[in-house]
Amino acid sequence: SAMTSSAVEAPTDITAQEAELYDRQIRLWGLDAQKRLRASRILMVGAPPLTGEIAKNLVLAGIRSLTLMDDSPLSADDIDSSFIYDPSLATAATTRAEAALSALHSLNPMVEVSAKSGQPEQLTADLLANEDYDAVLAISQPVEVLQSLGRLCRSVTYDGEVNSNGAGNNSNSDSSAKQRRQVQFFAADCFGCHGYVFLDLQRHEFATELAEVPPKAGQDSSVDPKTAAVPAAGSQPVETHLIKRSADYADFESVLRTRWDPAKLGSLRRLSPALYLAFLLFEFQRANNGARAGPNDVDALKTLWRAFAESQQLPANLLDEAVLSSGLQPPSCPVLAIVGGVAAQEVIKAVSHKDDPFNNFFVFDGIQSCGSVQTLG
Amino acid sequence: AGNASLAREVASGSRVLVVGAGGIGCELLKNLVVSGFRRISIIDLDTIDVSNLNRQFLFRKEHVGQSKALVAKQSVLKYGRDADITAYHDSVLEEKYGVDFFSGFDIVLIALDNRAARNHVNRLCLAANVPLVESGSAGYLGQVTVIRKGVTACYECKEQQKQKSYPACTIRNTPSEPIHCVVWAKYLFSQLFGEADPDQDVAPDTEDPELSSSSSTTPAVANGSQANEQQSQKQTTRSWAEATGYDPSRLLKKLFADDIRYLLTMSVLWQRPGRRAPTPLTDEQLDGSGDAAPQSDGYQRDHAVWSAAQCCHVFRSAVDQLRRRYAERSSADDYLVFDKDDQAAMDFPNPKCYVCAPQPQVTLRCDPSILTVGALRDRVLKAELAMVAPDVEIEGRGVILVSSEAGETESNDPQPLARFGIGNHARLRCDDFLQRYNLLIIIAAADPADAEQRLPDGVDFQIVGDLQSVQATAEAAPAAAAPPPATSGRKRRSEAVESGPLGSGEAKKARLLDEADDDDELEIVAAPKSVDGASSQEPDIVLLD
Repeated sequence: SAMTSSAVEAPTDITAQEAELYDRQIRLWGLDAQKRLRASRILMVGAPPLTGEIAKNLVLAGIRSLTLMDDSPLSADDIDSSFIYDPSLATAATTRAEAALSALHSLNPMVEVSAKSGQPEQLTADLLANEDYDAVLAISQPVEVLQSLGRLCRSVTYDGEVNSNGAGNNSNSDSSAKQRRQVQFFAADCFGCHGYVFLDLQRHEFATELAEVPPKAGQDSSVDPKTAAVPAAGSQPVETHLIKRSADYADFESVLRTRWDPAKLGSLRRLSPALYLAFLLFEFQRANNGARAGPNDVDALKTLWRAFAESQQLPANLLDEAVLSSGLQPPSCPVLAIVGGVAAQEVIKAVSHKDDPFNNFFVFDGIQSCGSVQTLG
Repeated sequence: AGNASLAREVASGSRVLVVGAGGIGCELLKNLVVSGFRRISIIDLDTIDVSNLNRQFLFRKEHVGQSKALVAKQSVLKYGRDADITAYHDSVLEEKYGVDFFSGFDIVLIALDNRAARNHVNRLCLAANVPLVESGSAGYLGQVTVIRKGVTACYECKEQQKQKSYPACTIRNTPSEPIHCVVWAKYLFSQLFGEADPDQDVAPDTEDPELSSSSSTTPAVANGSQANEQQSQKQTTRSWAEATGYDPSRLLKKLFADDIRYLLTMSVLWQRPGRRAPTPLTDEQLDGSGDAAPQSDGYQRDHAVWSAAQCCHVFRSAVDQLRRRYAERSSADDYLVFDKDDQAAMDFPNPKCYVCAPQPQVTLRCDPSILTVGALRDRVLKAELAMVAPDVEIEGRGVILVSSEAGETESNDPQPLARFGIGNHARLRCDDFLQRYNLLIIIAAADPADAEQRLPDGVDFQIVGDLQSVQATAEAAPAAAAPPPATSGRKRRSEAVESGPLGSGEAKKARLLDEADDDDELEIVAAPKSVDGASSQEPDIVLLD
């Protein structure tokens, strides 16, 4: 059943130890958000170096549990571009997921960290529900896996209802806003010096703070607001109050079928070429049985791009060879850190239902050193 | 395809300095080591606190109390990358980290949490001509800036966001917001246990402009008597506390009963509509019989509102602990830390930048018959222009006004500039030996009779950085600046004496770095009192472009 014992036994207050450890972040996103975080169970499919960056941030934030699923053997390249794998396991017959556990546990012993054996195809809606996952992160997965996992997450609906503390029906809290839990779906990957993060939160409800500057005491109501002196930024205490908002997200399938419509997306030339590259690489995987493109595939990619651009009615010069090549090397540590940081930040927002997460496709362009978000699909 | 291996090659040979081992420092160190950098130095004066552990991931619970730089080094060495890391548990403001030190690096990365140290490192990197990558973060926001002398703007090219300031009279007499109480508590702490600062007085302020309905005293007299009063107040608070052995009950009585009763005698303060008069503690509250401890653990302790009885209890126990320790980093209860955003935009170099422009100079509008040498050094050069150990010479006369050597020019401090013949158009050469920063200050004596020129009320001086207008209006400016007088008569500072991580002579510099927390700190600057006593947002210093 969906109401596992873990959900019911989650206490409504946080301990002194947690308050002390999480103090600086509670000041940022509030106690309510922290409580939801500490009730969240997250499954990460794929444990390449990017997973290490994301997982580090989620574990530090104080989620309930993190499960890693990756049976591929630990390679020298993995160790070389990450800090998360136990270097003493380099020669042992160990999986990437297992090799990451000790470092993650040490980052925050209060979080349950575990490895789960199996392939993504073996995941079912029942399994996700039984193990009570709030979010599934597909990291560096081929496009077909993204499609099936995206569908899978949308097919899960929990029978029970939960209160705002993320605890079970046994509500001790005053504010028991009942909501249906869904499984939130994320996908992220780095390619060369670029990366992307995708979110599908279905119908997402969240709290956010609306700022209001209190009226100045004794302000003359006859003063014309247009000509009245504007207080300098930060010069007045800003009051805020919490409001509830919701947002609708597109599923991954729709995003893949994105129509690159200049009317909707603004000038296509202003979008980062890394965005087109991300989609080109999906195309490559589709045409090559899920294989990742590497430095030797430049020519194949150029051909593929011309066909892709034509079918999408995109100008071919949106993506040139230099940018194309920049996306084929193994990603460097700083790029992994940036994309991993952004991904973790969005996961935190999503599972804590605080502040509005990206909607829905973030791209980091490592040449321009900037990120951008587009709403696709 | 060659890019990756080329990058690794360059990385492994580069010498990198990371200034700061907190939130950003940990991330940087991890990225550097994993990216193939092998020769890394890292410096941080701080020790690890449990509240750091949620993000400064190179530290564990067992490391609390240890040096951040040293533990960060130990942690990344476990990645097994064969890196050569030098860790300094020290303040980057120390003299030993001068231009020579910075010249030994190919690139410097700033991961600091305060502006003063950033300014300092910025200047040293300019002097050593070493590229600098500056970064900062607070809350959800962060930024990274590349600084390269002559190519990009330096850290100080663009005027930084003004620090929030509160008039001293509001803090001492009529606090109305939680932040006023935080500032008051901070001042009290330094009055009792920290480095005494006459600007951080907490006793009732008799010079509060609200108390006088007209400015009946001349500025000179007001300033003089205010200075004297502050002097005696400072002695009173500290020496009184020492004489009573920091007895918590007597302290409670003085601060929350006697001083409050004194404030209540200033009846005009409490006639202002909307302002509530304070209530002094009663004898019952003072004798400790009604004390109650707040809930001892959990989130509730810090976030519930305490009753007066609980406040008394906590105050007594805090003073008790503090007087026993009487050390720098005692953690006072009820400490709040404000975050601020540190925004810098990449821009063309600012030719008027008073740090990296070829001949930096500013105009100082003031009244030389009032502004003292001490104020010039402390409030203008140190507080506003971020110099650490300035020397000031009167140009063309070989007269040293301010010496960074302790004891040499102390007798000059209370004298107004006019006593040394410094008047309108006087030129003062200021330099900070350590920062290799030279600045020419041109005095513009504000004529009090001229309404245009007169400084705003309550403002002692203004710093103006417009080169064009200065040169156009200066009547007697020499066509070419005379070369600085020979420095043979002056001793340059000898090698800093080391006594532990913070050398005794440089401890004051190190204390510019205030907070234990590595979030960007809010610096509280005592603003001058505005005429109507309202919480004025006018800073007392105006930097004009």
